[in-house]
Amino acid sequence: MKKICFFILLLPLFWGSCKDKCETNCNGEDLTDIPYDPTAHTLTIPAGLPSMDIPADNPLTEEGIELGRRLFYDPILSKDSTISCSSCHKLTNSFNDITAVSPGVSGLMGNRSSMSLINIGFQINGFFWDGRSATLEDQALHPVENPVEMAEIWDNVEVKLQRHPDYKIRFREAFGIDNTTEITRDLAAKALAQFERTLISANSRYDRRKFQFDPDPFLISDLETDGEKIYFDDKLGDANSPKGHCAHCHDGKALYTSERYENNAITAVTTLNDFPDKGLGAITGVLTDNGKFKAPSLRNIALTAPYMHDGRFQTLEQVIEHYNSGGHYADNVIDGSINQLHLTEYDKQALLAFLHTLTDTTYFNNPAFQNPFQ
Amino acid sequence: MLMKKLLFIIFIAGFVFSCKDNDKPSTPSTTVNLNFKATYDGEPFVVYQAYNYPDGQKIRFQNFDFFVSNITLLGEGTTADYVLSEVEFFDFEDNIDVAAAQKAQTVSFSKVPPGTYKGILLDFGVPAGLNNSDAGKLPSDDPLRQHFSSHFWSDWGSFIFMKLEGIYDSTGDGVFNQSDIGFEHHPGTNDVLTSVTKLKSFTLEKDKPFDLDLVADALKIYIHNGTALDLSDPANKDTQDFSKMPLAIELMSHWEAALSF
Repeated sequence: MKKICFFILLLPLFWGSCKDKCETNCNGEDLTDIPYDPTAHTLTIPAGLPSMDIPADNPLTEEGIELGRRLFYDPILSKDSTISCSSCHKLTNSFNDITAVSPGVSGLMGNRSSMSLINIGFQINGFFWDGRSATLEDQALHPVENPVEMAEIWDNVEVKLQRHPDYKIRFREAFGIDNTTEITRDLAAKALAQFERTLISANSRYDRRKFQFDPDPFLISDLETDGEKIYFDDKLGDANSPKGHCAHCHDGKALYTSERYENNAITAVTTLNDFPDKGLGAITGVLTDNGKFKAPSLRNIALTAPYMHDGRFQTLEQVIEHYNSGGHYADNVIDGSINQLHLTEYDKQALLAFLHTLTDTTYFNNPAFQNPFQ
Repeated sequence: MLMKKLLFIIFIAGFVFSCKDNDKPSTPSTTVNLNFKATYDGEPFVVYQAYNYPDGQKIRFQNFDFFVSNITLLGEGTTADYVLSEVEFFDFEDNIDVAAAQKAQTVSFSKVPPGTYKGILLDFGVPAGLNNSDAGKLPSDDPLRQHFSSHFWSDWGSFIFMKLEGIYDSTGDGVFNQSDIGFEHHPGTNDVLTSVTKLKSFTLEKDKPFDLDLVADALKIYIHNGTALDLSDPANKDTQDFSKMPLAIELMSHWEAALSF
């Protein structure tokens, strides 16, 4: 009898605990008392950059951008709350990091270097080294569930965000949701994409000379100007002058990327099946796409060592030496661009000097991009 | 009374139907499908496939793409000229096998006036008015914006109008490797815009879609007065600096022969 009574006494507690859980997860919390009056954010596109495609269903708002910035810096997206987007995309390194491959949750290592997040809102030819995401919104979904990155599942993230006292307000203010249950991965991805679209850089020395027409005669040195000519295959004095063929993959005006996927001859293979990381080929299933990776922007390249999709080169000097050597031939290397360049030591110095003119220090000093939790 | 009501209903119905007729477009039209294929010496153009070059050596391509602008149907008799499109882009880089190469790339144009046309005019390249970096500001579905990153050559301030990329077996050993000559023919700038007219009469009938089949032959881009460009000469491997402008102009001038309709 005592046992039955004890059980009966316990029932309300059990019921109560279930009810609490259900209020949070099933019925959610009404948010309609919180004002929803988002402020439209208009991007100013600097000279030299192309148009940016803003999806009709994800217009930029001050509230959405701020929410995206917070999510970007918040480890809440990861399984053990140790990894945020900013763990691998550090602002001081042009939203890149300084390791060949970045550690994820529990120190697990991936096999690719993080990509620099700079002017990515202008890019329209896929994201990630292998182009597997067509949009920034889709891209933002992937790292959360990658076992060597955040190792979390979105169902859990959604619950964490729905329960969070600050985020539920911010999601309401950004997207006008009426209930916490409407906080979803798609809205989180939209907010992250909004923040990423604001990551605009256009104030390197080369930008100022080329696109802002800064008359300062000392802005770009003669050495850097010679490097520019090598970069663009322009003549450096005579018909036999060296060509770096750099711009074939890194032009796009102030973007400094063609957004194309190429095999840049960094991996020696016997056949096209032998690439340890097939890159684009793993996505398309096309043999001749194996070993192809997206040509990254060279903006702020001096800040984003190590280089290549696997971070194999520690310095820009090593990168230049690779291209000067012609690299490793395979059937799908860019035949016309990847071959011995015969650059002299002066040419290499000039090219290196030019690459440094693409550094925009105002970018990583921009308070709008910085960690809001610090 | 009943008769009056019936008459009223008939009157209203007539009014409604007459309104509906007035809403219909009064100008008859049809759809034209511009179908582009690429070939090499008449064979389907397939990337990474070895072909015979006229000098007896082998050649292999990785890419063949180009802009076509001012695409105009040339009217005959009472039919006026009709501009189908300001600029389009055709890309055969994904012709990874014969099956892919045999499938045309198609751009469709609706609301084309029916009538008799004597041929078609196309400009290979980007028209001068659009050939500047402002094209990067166009909406993302515009061909010039879509290919701005890959085809705008900042050093010229111009789009690359055509890309033909590949490798020529200069060693003659039948194997492609770094000892051979990779080529990258990228003509651009307003000086190389090339207008081609193809005369062949055709009639567009109302609401009957019409297929306009065009073929671009990559080999013919390299044939000048019956002689193939000497690809064994490293000086002919690219068109990037301004000293190569004569070669760029020469290659683009071959579009008249390279295009068949």
